Amino acid sequence: MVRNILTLSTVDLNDVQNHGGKATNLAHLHRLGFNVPNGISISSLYFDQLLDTTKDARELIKKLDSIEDYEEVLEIAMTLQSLIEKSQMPEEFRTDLISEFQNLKSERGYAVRSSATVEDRSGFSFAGQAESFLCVHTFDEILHSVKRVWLSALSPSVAIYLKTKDVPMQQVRMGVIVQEMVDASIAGVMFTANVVENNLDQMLIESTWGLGESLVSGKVVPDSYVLEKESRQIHNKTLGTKELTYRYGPMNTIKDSTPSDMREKFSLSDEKLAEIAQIGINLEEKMGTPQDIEWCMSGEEIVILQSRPITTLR
Amino acid sequence: MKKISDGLISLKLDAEGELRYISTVQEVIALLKEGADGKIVLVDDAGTTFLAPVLSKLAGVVCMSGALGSHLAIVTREFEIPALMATVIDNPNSLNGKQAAIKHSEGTSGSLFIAE
Repeated sequence: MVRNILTLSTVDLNDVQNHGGKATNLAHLHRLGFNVPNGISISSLYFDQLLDTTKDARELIKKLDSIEDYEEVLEIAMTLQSLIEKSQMPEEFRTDLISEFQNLKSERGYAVRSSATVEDRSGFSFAGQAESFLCVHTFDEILHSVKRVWLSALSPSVAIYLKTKDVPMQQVRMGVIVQEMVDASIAGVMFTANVVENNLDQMLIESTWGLGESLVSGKVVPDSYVLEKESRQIHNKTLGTKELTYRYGPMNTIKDSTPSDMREKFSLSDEKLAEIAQIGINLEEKMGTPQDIEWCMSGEEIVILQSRPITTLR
Repeated sequence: MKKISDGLISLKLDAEGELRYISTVQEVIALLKEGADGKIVLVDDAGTTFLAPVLSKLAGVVCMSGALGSHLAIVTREFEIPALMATVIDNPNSLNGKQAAIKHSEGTSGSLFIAE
């Protein structure tokens, strides 16, 4: 029997077409021994089913790919989203998810994240285009979040982003990942090359208090560090304002103003910075190319949330 | 030109153009209709979904928050335009329509200049 919902660790590394770039990258990291939160990967076949059973959806997507006028693209994409929003979830999906959900046991809830077949690829990050949902707790909330992730794949801004990249929307299939939520005290990103100056001998790390969502969505100015890759020596570091701290909450993400004493100190010690940098170097070596990595810390434990090839090195 | 502020620059690239302060999707559409080519857009935070319709046409982006790991910085790099992140600007409306320049200074630092 073909299973379309798999534990993340068992996803076939070559099955981007069904599980998307993020899921296959995370599965790869897991197999390589990196600390990745447990979870499940929901195949994009259910996304296909949703489109197939929603009247006019496929025709609208074909139309989106055939027109050039951006205003018309926005209008059609909004119509498409509206149709999908009213559409019923495929019954087979609900049944399959009930079965797999019993294997997930996280008291802290879950992160529901996109894994599109066109994301996290070399030359095409899809960064910030699809939605993610944190601190999701119940089965119904997960169902609702999965549908929202699917919907975000068909948003007006995605339609235009794809058009600027000459990627037909018909190629986009949306897998979804449900992972155990990490109660992060510190989070950040790491580029294992200096993407600003195209320097492969340096790496860039940014960090902030709490969950990393505040950083990747650009809501805060994080601490930033430039390191020499070989020696892990700090080339320079800049204190960020870190105005907000996003924290894990029992119902949803809590967004607090960061206390002034926390804003005025670096979120990472030099020792922890070096440890994170080493993980990045190891990851780059195993993946064979410089990486754009999202990470967090839970206590002293460093967790990898995402890794993708840096798309813009020249 | 007069230096207005410093920030973190996403690419070692300079850019010059008319600056527009954009805070709604309606303003993005209006800019698209008017012609976004060669302009520099100033935004409050790094919500890329907001700027998607015009990113391929812009000369650069200035963002009053975020950093190099923000979605906006990553996506603007794909379009090979510089984004000046974490740029403190007291009165963004006052810069609307002025000739602006984003200049890389050193390392990951850059600055915003405005014609007087």
